[in-house]
Amino acid sequence: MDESTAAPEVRVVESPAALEQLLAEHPDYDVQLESLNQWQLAWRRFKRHRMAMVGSAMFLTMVAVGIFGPMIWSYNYYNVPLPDQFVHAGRPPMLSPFHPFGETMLLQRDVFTLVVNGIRLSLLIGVLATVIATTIGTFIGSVAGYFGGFLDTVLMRIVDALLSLPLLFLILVFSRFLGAGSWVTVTLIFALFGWMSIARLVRSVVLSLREADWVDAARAAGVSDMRIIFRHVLPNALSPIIVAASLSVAGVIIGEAFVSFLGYGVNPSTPTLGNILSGAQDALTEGNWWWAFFPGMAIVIIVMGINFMGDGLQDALDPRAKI
Amino acid sequence: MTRYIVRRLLGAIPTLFIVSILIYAILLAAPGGPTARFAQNPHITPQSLAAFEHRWGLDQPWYIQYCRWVGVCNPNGQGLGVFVSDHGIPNLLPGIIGGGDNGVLHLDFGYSSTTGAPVSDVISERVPRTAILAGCALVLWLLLAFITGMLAAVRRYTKIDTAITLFNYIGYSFPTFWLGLLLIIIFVMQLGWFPAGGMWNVRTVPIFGTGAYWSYAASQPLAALGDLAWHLTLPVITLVAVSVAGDSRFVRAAMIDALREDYVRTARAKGVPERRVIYRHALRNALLPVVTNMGLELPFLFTGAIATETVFSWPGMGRLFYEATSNYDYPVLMGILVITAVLVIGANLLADIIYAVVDPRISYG
Repeated sequence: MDESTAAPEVRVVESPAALEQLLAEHPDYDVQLESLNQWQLAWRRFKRHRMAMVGSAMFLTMVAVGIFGPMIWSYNYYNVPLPDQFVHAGRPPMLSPFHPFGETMLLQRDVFTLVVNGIRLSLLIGVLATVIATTIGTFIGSVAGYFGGFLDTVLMRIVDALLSLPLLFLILVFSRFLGAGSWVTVTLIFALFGWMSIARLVRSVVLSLREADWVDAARAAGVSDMRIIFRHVLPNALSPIIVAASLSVAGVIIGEAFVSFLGYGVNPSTPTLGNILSGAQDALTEGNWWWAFFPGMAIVIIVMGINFMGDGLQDALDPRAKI
Repeated sequence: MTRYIVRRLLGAIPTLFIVSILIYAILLAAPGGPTARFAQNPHITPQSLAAFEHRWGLDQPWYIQYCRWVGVCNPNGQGLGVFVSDHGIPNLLPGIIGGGDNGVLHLDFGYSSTTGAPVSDVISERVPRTAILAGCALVLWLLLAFITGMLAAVRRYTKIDTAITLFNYIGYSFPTFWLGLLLIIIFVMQLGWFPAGGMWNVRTVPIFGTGAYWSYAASQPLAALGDLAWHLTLPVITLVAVSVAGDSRFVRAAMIDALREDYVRTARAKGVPERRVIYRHALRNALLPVVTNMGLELPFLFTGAIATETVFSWPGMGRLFYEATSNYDYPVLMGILVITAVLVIGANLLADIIYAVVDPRISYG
């Protein structure tokens, strides 16, 4: 093979120390600099964050289980087969391909089926509610921070008022009023009461950026207020919003689980990790611990994964951090 | 300084006003309502229904109802006289000096729709029970948060720090109610060491808070206290385990910031012993943000016990709220919401003011 047409060997190193070592081994290498944008730098920092990678692995595994689990697993959530042997408390977990997480009390449902289906909807509710809440919060926060004045005062008073009521209480009351509802209703309730802290966060960032020279410059160039907010100011507030939103997913999942556990959240006809736990407390007295254990463990793994990821994101997206 | 405090106090009034409107709107939007229980009763004539509505002011427009609920309007007044109490001074003033006696401002939250008892009685019966649970948890959790947070900060990036951080992450990720279930599985079902719920042993101890209970506690103080502690253990562990994580991380961060300050380096350079540097120089300065943060958490401790109280059937405020939600007992719900909101806003104010008073670096204008 002709050497001149073969692609040159390319090695990528990410730190000066590694470069020096490489050059010591191969003094004949050419050195080229590659410039990275903010996101590439952030991704590089995120990759180095060991906890964040572990968290992402946990979270993505649960997402994969939620998406594919119900498709692959041999039982359908909506189809409850008659057990081959009646045991009031349900049978314990066994190392068989049939009921690895055991059976529930009374109906003897397969706990693994409940868990994989629950993960799917719990994740969906957590992510959807957060997306809606973050959108509302970002909009209100940026409008309040950018325009200031009377509008700001009124909006922030409403935020103060809503934050002074315990979130869980409001959600409990509304879930009860609207009936043990469809998961869409529950998602909307969480979104409706979840935007306040994001709004506060965005407002504080916008407030500090609004006086920047480049905002003045944009205004002088005749750029409209909305365009300044969404194209010039908000991209700078993106990192704290991403971090807060990722942590809020965890909060919604726990909150929904509690409300559904009490029986006021999502209707049991659609499984979430909370409502499949709602009968589990009574089963404890019968010695059936696996019904309560496995769905809760799924919540813990999801939430811990998200918390690790959020922490990694916070470090990775910090523009002051070194590579 | 005084001007700052006064301004903050006045600033809280609009927030309280909006909160009260929100809470009242929840009541108005709620299904059911006060007359719903008569709907199926054939003996209730339209006349008696109208009389009932007139008696409780339900025939009034919503703003008059709201005004009476808050306590600014006098239900006996007509026209502009609604703002004047029976004694001829503004209704919103305290009852002792001749103001009104109705409405939230006069601590009149109405009557529970399930038991018919005044809401203030229903709530005040539950307050000490939650206070016992929350108080025990608070003391333990503050202690643990400080010890672990400081240890992690002083021994930063060592194995101890990693272990504490990991433990905090795990605690942070546990849903409170599920941790309660786990503890019940282990310590009640498997080991049988503690009761699964309740606040007193119903077979041997009278109902907490009644006269019979206090005479029992006076005659057998050790048995009463032991019984209480026995029932307290699991709920307190649950509350502490999930709450200590956040504060421990906060203490660690504040302590690390303080240890980085120039005066700490100066102290070390002067040869001040390390213990003294940590406790006298760093801790004192780290204390300020930590205490403020904890002040903000206090009201939520009061209500945040709702998950713990429902799992362990602890008959406190959180469980009362849950029961009231189940029974559509709106007066009780609103009473709890109002009290919580006042507590939260008060704690916010207090934290801000204390911060301004204690820290000379903060300028207030």
